[in-house]
Amino acid sequence: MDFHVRISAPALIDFEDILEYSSANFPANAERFGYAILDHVDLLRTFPYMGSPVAGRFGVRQLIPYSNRDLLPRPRRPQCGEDSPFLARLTKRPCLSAAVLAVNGLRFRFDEGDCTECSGADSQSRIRGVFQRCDSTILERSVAESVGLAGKCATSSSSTRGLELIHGYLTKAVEVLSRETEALRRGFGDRRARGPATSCSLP
Amino acid sequence: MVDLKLQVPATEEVEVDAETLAAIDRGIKAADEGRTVPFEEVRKMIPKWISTFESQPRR
Repeated sequence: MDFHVRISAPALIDFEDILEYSSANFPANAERFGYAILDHVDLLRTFPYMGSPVAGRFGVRQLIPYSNRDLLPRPRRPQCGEDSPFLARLTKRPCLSAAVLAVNGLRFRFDEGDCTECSGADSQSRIRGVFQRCDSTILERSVAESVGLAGKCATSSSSTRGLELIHGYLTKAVEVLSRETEALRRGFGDRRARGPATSCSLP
Repeated sequence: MVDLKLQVPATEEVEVDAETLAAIDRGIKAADEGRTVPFEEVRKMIPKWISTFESQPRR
């Protein structure tokens, strides 16, 4: 069952301000950045309990699309044979470590059979297929929002729930990748062709 | 390097600053008053906003 996501008026104003800043400082990426944030929020339709509870505000959760490279510095590329800080923190779920590493542009390899704990064999094969089909740039950009939060699940002791969420994120990532790959095949279809802008005034 | 707090389980509460709490309260108040916009409408606003920003002189 999908839920409805609505954006409050103050949040909309903040979002517009953020995009204005992004447009002024990163004009080539501002639109993509805006869609990336919304894509992340869009996951709430399917996973309304995503994110961490906020202390002092019952029922409020915090989502951090921290994988966006416009906002955060990229981690240092590790030397051959050296694990990244991300990998060190995610060793309990090697398959996720590979995914997170891929997201961070550190390594584009998915080690089959690395993870003996996860039951996500289907996700593994799907992701591996995507890795083989897609250009690494597309992979970085598209999987980032979906798999970024999987890192949190990997550190959680609640493995069953975590795996359910991870499976959902990876499935969503595959959907996003498929869609964007198709757009690229059409010759980098203009994102603005998603539909004409309609006027919408706040109540 | 920015601390991404990957060591914090997803189910653990996170502390946010007073400014963020105030922003949350403003958002909840607006939602209670019905001042919300459907998600799909916001997605359609992005290209319009970007066009507007691009047409503005750089600050």
